[in-house]
Amino acid sequence: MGERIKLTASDGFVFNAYRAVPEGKVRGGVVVIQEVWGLNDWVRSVVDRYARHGYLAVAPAMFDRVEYGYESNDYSQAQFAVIGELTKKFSQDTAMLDVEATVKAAAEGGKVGITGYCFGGGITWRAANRGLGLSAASGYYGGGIPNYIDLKPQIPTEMHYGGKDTGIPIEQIEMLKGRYPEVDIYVYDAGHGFCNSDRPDKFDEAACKKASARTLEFFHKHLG
Amino acid sequence: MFRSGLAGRSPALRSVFDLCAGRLHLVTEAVGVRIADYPKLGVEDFMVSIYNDHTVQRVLLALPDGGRVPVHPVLAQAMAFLRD
Repeated sequence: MGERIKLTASDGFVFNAYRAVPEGKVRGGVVVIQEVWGLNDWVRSVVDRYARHGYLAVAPAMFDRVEYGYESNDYSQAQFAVIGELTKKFSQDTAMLDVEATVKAAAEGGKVGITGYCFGGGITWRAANRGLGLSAASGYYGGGIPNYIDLKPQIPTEMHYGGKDTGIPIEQIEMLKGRYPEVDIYVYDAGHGFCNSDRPDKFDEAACKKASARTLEFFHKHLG
Repeated sequence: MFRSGLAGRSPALRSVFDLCAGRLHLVTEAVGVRIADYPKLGVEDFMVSIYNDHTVQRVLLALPDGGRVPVHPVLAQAMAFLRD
């Protein structure tokens, strides 16, 4: 449904992205932030899904500054060393420049929301803290909560976590809830990665449907 | 006498006795992970490491000289000694 495009950040860096435009009326724009596997099949399918729901959706390739063009559909441990190397060199500061450029691209559709999964969930929270011209943020199982708990969201934000996520302790989720009572933080009876339908060992259809419906309702309310 | 005899034959078991007596203690600390070791990580440790500066939390035996030893292999060695 969508197409691969190039975007330019404010510092001149040109990076890959994937964009999908709705066929009918456009309700707004949505930025989709990847997991750690780049602009792979699943992330592009999420972009296409938001377009089917009426949003001009764009996903930036968040690792292009580290390894241009990286993307993988290999979810096995064989990729762990590659991803470890990528995240070692990854910069949150320049990442926000790429997110900002993507927000501008999605703004062609109107007000812009941001969503992201795992690594992208953390980026979603950080983008909500920066503002970046966004109108709403809905993040999924962003790991490393202690690394972003001090960053207060500046826009309406909600987050979705798996209660059985062995990489994100429930105590940290409770800390986040306590710290930001104005943020809707939903916990599902599922593990990490519950919305990745390309990973049958992680995917929880019931939890993903519920969370995705909440995100859409949230975006309908804040974007249009 | 019996315990000291066992401890004399197994350094690992001696450490367990010292732990129980409070002469040694456990700590949980961040331990760095080499990129080359990433394929050996479980999914949870992989996640934790990429969000925590490539470190994972490990339970360690704190030695009197300030050194640190992973406690699980010590426990495994002590158990293996008792089984034999």
